[in-house]
Amino acid sequence: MNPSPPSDVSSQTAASLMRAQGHDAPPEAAADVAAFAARVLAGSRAAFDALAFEDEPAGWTAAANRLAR
Amino acid sequence: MTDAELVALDCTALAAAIRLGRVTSERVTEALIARAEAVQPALNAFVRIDAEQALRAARAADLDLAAGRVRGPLHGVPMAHKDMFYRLGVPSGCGSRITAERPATTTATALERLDAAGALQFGVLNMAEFAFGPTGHNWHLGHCRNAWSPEHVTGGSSSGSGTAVAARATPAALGSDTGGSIRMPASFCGVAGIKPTYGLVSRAGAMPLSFSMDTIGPLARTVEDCALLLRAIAGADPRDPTCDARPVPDYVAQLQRPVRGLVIGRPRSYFYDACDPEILAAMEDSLDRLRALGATVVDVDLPDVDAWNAAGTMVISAEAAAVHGPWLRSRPHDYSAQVLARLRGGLAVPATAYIDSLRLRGRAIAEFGAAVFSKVDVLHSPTIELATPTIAQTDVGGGPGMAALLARVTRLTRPANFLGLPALSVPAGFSRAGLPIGMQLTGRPFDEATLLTLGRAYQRATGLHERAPAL
Repeated sequence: MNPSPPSDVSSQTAASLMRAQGHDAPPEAAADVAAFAARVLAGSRAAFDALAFEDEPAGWTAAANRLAR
Repeated sequence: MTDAELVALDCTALAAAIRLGRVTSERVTEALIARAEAVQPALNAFVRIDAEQALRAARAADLDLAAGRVRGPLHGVPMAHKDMFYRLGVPSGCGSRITAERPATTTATALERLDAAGALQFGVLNMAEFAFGPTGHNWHLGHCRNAWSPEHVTGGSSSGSGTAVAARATPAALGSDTGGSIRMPASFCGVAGIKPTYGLVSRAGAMPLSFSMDTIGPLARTVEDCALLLRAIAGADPRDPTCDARPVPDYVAQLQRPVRGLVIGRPRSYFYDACDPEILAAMEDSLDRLRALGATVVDVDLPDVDAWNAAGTMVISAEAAAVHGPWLRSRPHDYSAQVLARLRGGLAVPATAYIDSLRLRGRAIAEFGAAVFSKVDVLHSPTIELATPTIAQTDVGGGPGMAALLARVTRLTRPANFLGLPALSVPAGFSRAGLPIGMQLTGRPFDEATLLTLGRAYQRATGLHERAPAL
């Protein structure tokens, strides 16, 4: 399992996003949201870098059909 | 037959006994309701038992049968389901405080299809709040407890489904699986459960969590029952545009296919990286059994699964936060603190990352297929890599290691959700503490039949599904 990377999403940014969407943003919640976002964004960055220009969100269906017997 | 004998029968045997007139549906329903009421204080598996209504339905099924009208392969078989499958006019609590009083405006396609197959519903089952928790904790309804040891978790989110089936309080139950919510309770509770390919089973009328990941499937004591229920609920549905249009195979008929010649993959990485020794030993035993049945076992290398898990987490979080947006704004205090925190996580997922996560799915399944299904028919692994934790270990005060523990619980089930692949969990042994251990079989898209064939052969060879908890 990959260790969690250091947070590079600030609590202030998370709080701003939460408030902009109409949600409460108590400091502890904002810190948790920031840590979550930082972790998943860091965990997927390399895979996103490998995406092709043409890869599309509906690509799963075509790929699954090719793999199905 | 005595009550104890009746509740010990699986759906297949109950349906045959009712059809042949050896027992009435009413008698079976009475026995199951009595069993459910008897185990409820220890397990907290049921949210509601609809005794009068179920007995009326059972008597009607008996009258139909007497008149020569057989509704379907599950004629007169009573069962209970996770409390997130809507039935018109009836509130579905979804494990929450928010929807508990809201009558449903539709009936779930999965329930309609079970009704059409002749099944009856006598109750609804406990679940994690909004299906967003892997252990079976529910701070509103009370935690669900494992039939093998009430101090231990059931797994979630289909917690009541897992433990009620294990306790012989229902012969089968519907569950949902967005990150492992069928397979985890199946594994921890020692029953079978299948997460179908994304798009095989309609989600219409079922509580949404993540549109791109949600699947619906059965939990039952036997793989044969999983095949029977899956056959009943699968297939195209105009009410769910993500549903696949291909014909549904007769999974029950295909159970007889030979295992000899199937190639099973043992992953060299990820699935065993952090596996407890006694889980590992159970997996080696299960592979020996499968070899003895005629299957070939080969090692396979996997792509980087961790990156897919991160992407899958973003999809689930962003979609769940969107679905819950209005309630998160207007009723945040009606969520438990744990679920509120999980739902809020999606509020900071950038749209670009969400879209890239979805773009990654096609590439991921193609890479996984090339690495795995070019060599093997089925990937074998543990369902869960660690021994069953206690409810206390995974509760609010579970200590600093709790988050890591929860991540380990879901670690081996999440890949199949991101990849949209079918995965079956089958009991594969017991720990020294006497708690069940599950093995997971993952297959090609829409190849549930191979998983069920293999799982059923394994069950018949081991008889592990016949062991019952001492309740």
